[in-house]
Amino acid sequence: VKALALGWALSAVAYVVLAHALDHARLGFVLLAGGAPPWAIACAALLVLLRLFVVLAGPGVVLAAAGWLAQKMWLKFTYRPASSSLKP
Amino acid sequence: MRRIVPLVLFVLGALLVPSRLCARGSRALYDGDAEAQRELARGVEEWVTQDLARVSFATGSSRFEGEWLFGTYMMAAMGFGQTGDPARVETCADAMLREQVGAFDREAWGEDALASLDGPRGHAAYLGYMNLALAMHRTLAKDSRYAALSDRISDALARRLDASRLALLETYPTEVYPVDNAAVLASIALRDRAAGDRAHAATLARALAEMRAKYIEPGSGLLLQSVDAEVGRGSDARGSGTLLAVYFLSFADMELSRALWRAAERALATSVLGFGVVREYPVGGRADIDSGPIAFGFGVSATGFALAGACIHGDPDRFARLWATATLFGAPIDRGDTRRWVTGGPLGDAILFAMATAPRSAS
Repeated sequence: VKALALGWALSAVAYVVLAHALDHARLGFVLLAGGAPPWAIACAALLVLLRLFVVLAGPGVVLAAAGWLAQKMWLKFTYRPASSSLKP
Repeated sequence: MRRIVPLVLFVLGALLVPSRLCARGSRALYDGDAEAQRELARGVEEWVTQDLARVSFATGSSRFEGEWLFGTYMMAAMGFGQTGDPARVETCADAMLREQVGAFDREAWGEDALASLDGPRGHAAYLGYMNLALAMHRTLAKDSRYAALSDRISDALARRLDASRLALLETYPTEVYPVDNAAVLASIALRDRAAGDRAHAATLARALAEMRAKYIEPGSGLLLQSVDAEVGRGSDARGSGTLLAVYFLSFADMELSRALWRAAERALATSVLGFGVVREYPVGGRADIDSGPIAFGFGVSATGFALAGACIHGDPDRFARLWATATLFGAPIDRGDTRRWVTGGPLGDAILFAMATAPRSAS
């Protein structure tokens, strides 16, 4: 879960940076046009892939991370060492 | 167990939440909320008030770049007209009338469409789309400075339609596209409505009847994408042409627009994980400049144009699902009160603006 959350966060940051860069350079729409330089098309394709991952996986990552944390806390609060229960 | 709970939550989150998140704001647009519309309008305004040129589009084809430049102003004009901004419609109409913006049509025909209105040749897309923008301005400004030009274009288009054996006009020499003719008919109908007369009613009735009878595929009910200029035989029926015609025909014949919308819903539209998508072809097919990119059979153009159908024919749930898809792939950036679509560019932004603000059918 930690690796997934970290990967998602890094993707989200990369997406935001790339989206603003492409918007500033007016190059985000080259996937529709098709006659642009290969590097511009590759950047736009990467932007779409990052967005798909960030948006589609995002809510799942947040929920999974919350569930993982809740589970961890629950186990921490309910944990009792085996030896303590054996004391008279 | 420690792994199952996060996994189940991840799957639930990924399945149920993204489409709802992406559809946020769609209801306000569907209901015609002025602020939601203005947010889109401001994004398009940034494009049309800067110096766009054919090279802004990089399609790899000089003609397509010219079409996209012209189409950007045309779609923007429709969006501004539908949101009641005659000043910005004028900005777009003036741009469309610039020599440089109409060059793609002049190069194809070897003559200037506006200088040859007395002649017999089609110029369906250039004149039809141009006249739509001019007529739209006239619906907002009764003393529109484009009124005389719109009258001349409408008369020329009607005369050419009356003389046409196919009841269709050529977009370029030997190239006939029913969807461009839908724009021609819409422009004439809008002009008649704005002028408050029925000067072209007979022409419209005949051409619309011919479109119903000859240019709609009997099996699917979809509009043919192109027609052979010599023998009048049609090619495949497709999503992009049909759904753009749904929008255009809503200005000329709401019943025909509705029939095409229902057919497209039946044959092409579906949802994936709550995201609304539309196939370009009922079965198979390849991507081209009309369809835009196609992924798993679903077309970018068909899905974007379908927003107008959902809006016009009153389907808020489908509108929300389609808007979710536009938001997912369009990569919006909101700066203050302005929304732009990173993957949309000038034409994509203008199309989304026009489609999402399409006026609702009275019925």
